[in-house]
Amino acid sequence: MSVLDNLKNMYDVKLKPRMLRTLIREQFPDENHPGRLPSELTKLISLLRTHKLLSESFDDSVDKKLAESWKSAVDEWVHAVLSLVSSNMSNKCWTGICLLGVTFQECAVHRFLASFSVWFNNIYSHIQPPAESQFVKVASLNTMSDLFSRLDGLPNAKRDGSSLASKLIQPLLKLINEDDSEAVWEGAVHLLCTILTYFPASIHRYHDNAEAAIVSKLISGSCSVNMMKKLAYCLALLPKSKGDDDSWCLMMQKILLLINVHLNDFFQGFEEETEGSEAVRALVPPGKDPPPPLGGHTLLGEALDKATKQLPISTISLLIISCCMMLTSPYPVQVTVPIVPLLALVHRVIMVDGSVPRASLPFMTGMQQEFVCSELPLLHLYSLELLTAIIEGTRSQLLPHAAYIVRLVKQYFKRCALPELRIKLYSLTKSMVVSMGVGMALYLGQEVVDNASVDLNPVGDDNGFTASIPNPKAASLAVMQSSHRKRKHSFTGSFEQQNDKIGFEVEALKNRQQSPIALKIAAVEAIEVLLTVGGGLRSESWRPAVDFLLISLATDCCKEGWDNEGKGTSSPSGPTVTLADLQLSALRALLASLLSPSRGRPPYLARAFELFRRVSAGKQQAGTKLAAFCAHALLTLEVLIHPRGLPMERFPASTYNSLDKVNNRFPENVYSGGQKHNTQGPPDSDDDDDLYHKWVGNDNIGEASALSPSKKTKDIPFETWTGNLSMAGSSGTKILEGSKEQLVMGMRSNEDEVVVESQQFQESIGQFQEHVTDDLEGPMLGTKRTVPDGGLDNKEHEVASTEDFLTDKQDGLTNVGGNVAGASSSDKGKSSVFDLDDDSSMDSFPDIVNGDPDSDVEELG
Amino acid sequence: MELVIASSSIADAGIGCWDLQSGAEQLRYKSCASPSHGLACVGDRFLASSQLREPSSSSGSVLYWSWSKPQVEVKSFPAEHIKPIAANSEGTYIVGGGQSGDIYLWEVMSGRLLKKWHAHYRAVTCLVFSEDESLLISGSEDGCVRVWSLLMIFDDYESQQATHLYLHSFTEHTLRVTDVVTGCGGCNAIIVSASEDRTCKVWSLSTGRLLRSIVFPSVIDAVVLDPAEHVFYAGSRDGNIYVAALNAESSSSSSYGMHIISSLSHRSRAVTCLAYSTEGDLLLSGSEDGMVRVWDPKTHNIVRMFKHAKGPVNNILVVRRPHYLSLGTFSNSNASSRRHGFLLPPPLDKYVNLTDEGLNNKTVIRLPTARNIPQDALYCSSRIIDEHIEDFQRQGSSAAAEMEVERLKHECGRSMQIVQQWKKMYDNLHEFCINELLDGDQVGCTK
Repeated sequence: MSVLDNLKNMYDVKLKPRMLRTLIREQFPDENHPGRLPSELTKLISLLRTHKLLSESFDDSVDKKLAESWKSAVDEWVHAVLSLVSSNMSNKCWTGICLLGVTFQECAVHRFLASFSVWFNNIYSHIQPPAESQFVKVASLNTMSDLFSRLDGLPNAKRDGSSLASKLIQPLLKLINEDDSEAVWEGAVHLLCTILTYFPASIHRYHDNAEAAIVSKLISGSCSVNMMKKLAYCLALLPKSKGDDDSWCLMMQKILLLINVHLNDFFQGFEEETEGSEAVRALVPPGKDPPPPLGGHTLLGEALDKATKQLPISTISLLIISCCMMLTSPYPVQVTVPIVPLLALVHRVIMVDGSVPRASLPFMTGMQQEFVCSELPLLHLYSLELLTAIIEGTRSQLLPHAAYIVRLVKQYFKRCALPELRIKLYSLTKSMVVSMGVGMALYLGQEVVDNASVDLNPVGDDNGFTASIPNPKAASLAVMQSSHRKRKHSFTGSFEQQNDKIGFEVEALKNRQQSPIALKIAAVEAIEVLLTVGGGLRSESWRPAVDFLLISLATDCCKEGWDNEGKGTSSPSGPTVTLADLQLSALRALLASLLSPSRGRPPYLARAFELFRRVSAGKQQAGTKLAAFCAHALLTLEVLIHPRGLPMERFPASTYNSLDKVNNRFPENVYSGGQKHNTQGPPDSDDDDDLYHKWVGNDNIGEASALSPSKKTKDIPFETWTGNLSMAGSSGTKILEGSKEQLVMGMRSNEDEVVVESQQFQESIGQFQEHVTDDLEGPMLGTKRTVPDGGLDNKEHEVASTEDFLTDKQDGLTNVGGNVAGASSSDKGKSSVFDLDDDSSMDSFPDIVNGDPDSDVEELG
Repeated sequence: MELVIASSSIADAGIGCWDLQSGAEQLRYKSCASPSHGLACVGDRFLASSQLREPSSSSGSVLYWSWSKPQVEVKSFPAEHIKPIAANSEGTYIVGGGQSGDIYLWEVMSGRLLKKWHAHYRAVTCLVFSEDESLLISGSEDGCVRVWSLLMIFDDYESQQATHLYLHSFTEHTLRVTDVVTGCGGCNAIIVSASEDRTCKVWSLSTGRLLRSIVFPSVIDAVVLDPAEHVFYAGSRDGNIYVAALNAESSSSSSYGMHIISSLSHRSRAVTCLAYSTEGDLLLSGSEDGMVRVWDPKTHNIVRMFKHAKGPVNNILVVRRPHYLSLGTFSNSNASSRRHGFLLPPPLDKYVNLTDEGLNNKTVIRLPTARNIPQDALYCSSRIIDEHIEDFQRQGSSAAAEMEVERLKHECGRSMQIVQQWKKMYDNLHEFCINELLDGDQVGCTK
């Protein structure tokens, strides 16, 4: 047999049957080794998985003998496993059942199809007898669930699967009702969920029994939280067994009714008496019969009486979870959601904050109030969860109720002070803004920004505010981080001025304590989403404050060092948020603030660049998410700086040296933007602009010669333009001379600010200058032409002569230059498309406006 | 796989449906005389079209066709003539523009008229949703283009406070607005509107200002944007499709006018509607001569033609073929669409129903049907093994053992104490008994 040959490598098919046999021989618990440690089982399973020993998959090139050998090896395996299953030692039996479950998952399809009913019977026999030990039962329930999971993927086994599943239901319900071990309940409920997901029809007949069983467990409150969640999930899946609109609605109605009844007791004295009855009336319209109580009539008497006194909160929370799951898990047909009662429930819960109205004060004991207050946060949390689920589930159909939710959220923002709840609230606003778009951003913008600024406060007072406003906290911080502070001041010096301008409310913030990192992250993420969706529409009132907040947050939390990722303070209770997470979300939000449409250049562009570059270049961060994100941010910002109008390939007209939107549509805008900035040096906006032309031209050197059509027209305008430019230059501002070379030089002097620092780029510029003066001046400078062209080519509107037009323009420009001489130099740049209509720039060029076809003024006139 | 759907103002032409790739005609839906902008595909589930009506008739008409049947399946009769209709991409709402300038908003699943508001002074001519579908843009015969925030429309409180409901109102057009389109970019998108005053105007959604106005040689009836918004295409009544610059450099040498780069022309009659196929990067135009032409926008060549009818084509839609429709034929998809629960919804209501509280409390939603749980996560046998092993090891761990020892020691100490107590009690009892006995003896002796 070829099995004896040497193996080629570890991928050789021959290896598999051999290895499988070895495993059976040596690793298997058999008569000789009865008490094997189960830890070896893990090894066994991982070997099976890694080498796919049970898959029996090979290509046709594998010879028949080998295939046979593998098949027989798997046969042996199955035989061995089954013999374990039928063993009467519970230890071995358990092992066998678990391995059978792994076999279900791993074995070939044809093998599974051929023998699944046999395997089913093997396991079924272990679910039935009451004497079986507990862990065997649990294992067989789980293995059974694996069987159905696998069965679902196979097309022709639906019917068989259904009939097998329906056999199981009654024993399962019996286990849930009668067994006394939680592990067994859990297994049974898990199996029930699996069946409900894949073969819902098989439970159809037992729907009411199943409901009763689940609800009685749920209400009894005798299980752990995890188990209760599973039960709630199972309850939510139950309507699937009938699969129609009515049963879904009925279930929802029953659950809501039960919750409201519970709440009536719990909130007694904390809310208006009418609240409860109104909630019930919304659920059951007057004149209609209320639905049967959840879990059927038998439960009503004993369970409810007992339960309401004991554990109402956990039960209510879990029923709320059930509602959430119903709203978000798949369902075969469309359903009618009682949206108003759901929202009313949320409203009812979150409006109770533990305060007692004066009227009911005499009837309230301190203990009762204490009890309610202790349970309320959890209840609020789940109500917010429910609200999130409503938003997710109903999506666009929420529109008629969106305004109500907005008001609810705004109201709750004011009252909510616990970090956990605020985190939830931020994530809720996030999903609202994302799912309902710009319209929602308009509504919620201010609210989110106000709250987020408060939650992010310590960053605010730690960042340059100390100088202008005495702040005891910052002072104490300053002692601690004196080494940091020095650097910080040199770095954030400009903030002190901006601080006054923006009028950040430090006073109000300084007494608050520092918010936990998780809350900060939630707040920053909410801002990020807000900027992404609605940063450009009616955001003037909050935008400057947010931009400032984000740059200071990013600078601040990145200052404390980078090496926290991975080594963060990890507590034993699962993953915790670290500073690295905050850094990442702060940088993400910063990127959003740079990219979100605004008028004019983002005020902190240079600082943000510096930050991103520092992180992505830092050696320590190599491989971290932070570095990866910063690299992405730099790539994204590149487009902001070198905008690309995306022409179609082979577009017939001379669109190769097409400019970015701004220049092209509204040429004069370039001037106004540029002049503002030019008060202290050469007119770098022009250079900036020019740079871009060359940049584009450089890319197109090959094609440039093909673009002759408009070449001729542009030479003359260019000359006049430069001539005028130098005239304008002589009248005050330092503008460069008419020579093209100096244009380029001026551009170079400024490029550090404009372009990402990169040696390569400078080189390309260098090359460029040569091209400029030699052969390529046409197309390259031609792009400049757009300035006069706007006036020249417009035959319908009679502009005087080109020269007049241009001189006017230049004069206008110098005026602007004079007017804005004091403006901050950071204001330079690529103003957005819409700056055309900016009033100030319009005012300064009355003549041009008349001649310009793009402006609306002309249309009116 | 995209389908081209075209309708005409002539009733016997019906709605034509072709496969864009193969050119094969699919099903022809009967008896539809749609006005311009009066055809919509509602959430991939069915087609809806408003109908041209006799001026004398008092109500409007909106018809539904399911994909699989040529006959009209659902007829609704709104309170007035509805011309433009639009549906959001999910197919949950249909908006219709009335002759009086009112806009109607219906919930599709229930047919309820959720909202009706007075939007324009004269008839609404076109309606379009913004990219994220939270805004609605309407054009009217009075030359006005308005942007509505749907959230605001539904917010009774805020809308009473506000002086006007709209977000922006663009009034620069002097004549009837013929078409409105909006681009991508969320709140920073542009809106392009065409009007009978021979201009197309480009507006900024974020600032609400006019960015550009382009004068065309003839009236533009249809506009469509290039996906990269480099240019836009304007279908004119002189039969040309003009290419007008957005981001593109506007050529000075153009013979058509400022900002008009070039034109696609086929000496046909007036172009009435345009559509863009994103899948094939193709431009589709409908003409008064009843043809649908498919252009390659790069080469300006016609790549395909569909003959729809003798009368004018006035609506073209390009929609994705719904996944449940089989490739070749539409006819046997009936059963499968039924299985997907896509029965057509009830007709649209005529009036806003405020009385039925039970209905207003509810909303019909479609929950996801797909399962997207990763398969591996479902299997739990090996998890059970791991848990069991962990249990096992935990019991054998030194910490557990130590705790057990401590507990046992404690137990032992307590037991010892109890033993001591018992012993003491026994001693006491013993002593007591002996004393009793001795006392009794003494008493006996004394007797």
